Amino acid sequence: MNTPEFKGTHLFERLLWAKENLEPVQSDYRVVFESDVDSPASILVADPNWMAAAKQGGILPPVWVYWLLAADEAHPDFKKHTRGYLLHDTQPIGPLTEEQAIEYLIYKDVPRHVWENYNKGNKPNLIICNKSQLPKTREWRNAWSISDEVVSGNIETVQSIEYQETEGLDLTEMFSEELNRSKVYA
Amino acid sequence: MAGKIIADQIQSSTAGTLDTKYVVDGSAKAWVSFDNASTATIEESLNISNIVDFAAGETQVNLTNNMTNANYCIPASAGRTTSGGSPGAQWIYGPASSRWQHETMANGGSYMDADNNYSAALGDLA
Repeated sequence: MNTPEFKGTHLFERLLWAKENLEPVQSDYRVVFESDVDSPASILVADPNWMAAAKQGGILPPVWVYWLLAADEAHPDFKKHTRGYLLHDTQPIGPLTEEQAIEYLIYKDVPRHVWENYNKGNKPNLIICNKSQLPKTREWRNAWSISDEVVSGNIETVQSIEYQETEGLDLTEMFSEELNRSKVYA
Repeated sequence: MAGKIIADQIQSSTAGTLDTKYVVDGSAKAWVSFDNASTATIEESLNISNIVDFAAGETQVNLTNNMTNANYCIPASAGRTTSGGSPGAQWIYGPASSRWQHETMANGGSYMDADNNYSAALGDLA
């Protein structure tokens, strides 16, 4: 099924179209990350309807749109979003592979200090793994951390996802000129 | 989009007339049903990009289409677990336009994981 021409269509309407027309995709990937030393490992799980929209293409905005909105909201004088049009009017991104979609979610919702420095400590603080690699029960959930054993098996996966050449997810698009000009993360 | 109807009111043959703004303003703009008792899984949703399992009973829900600000309503609930545990209070922590944190407590006051967790967003979209 082809995606309708959605540029300028409210993002919520695009999501309604996706929910009605696309089969949900339950991803087996999990993003495990440690945002600080005092907290247990966090686990990001992609939404099946969102993943279907990401793989379809032509629905989701580029991730830098979320960064700009987050920067607006962090401003002390923030009352409400006045640049919500960026979600709706920015050209939607093309189809992503499942791996690219997971990368997109990392940039969207994992704290920046985690993914920017994921491999600069004694051990990585972020990995992408299969859900089968997680503990089978919730026992001792508040003591979960990234083990050295898991890290050694997955760090190459993280690196390959971060640096791979992509078709649908263009890093120059993610780190757009508009974002650079705004110096949001300078 | 094809098939668009623009109307300010809807009239029922028996129950009177309703402004469409009640439908637009009163509908949930996002909702999610997720299982947090084993490996965290999203069962069904609308306008959700992902959940983040922070710890026992603590899950962040991330939106695809932001709300206009953090001042929206987030009803939340959780079902009885298959292992027999009974969720008590549902807390919403740290809402922002792009997310909220759904916390599930046992009757005794400690955080607990539940099979069925539900939350939604009522308010205005960005």
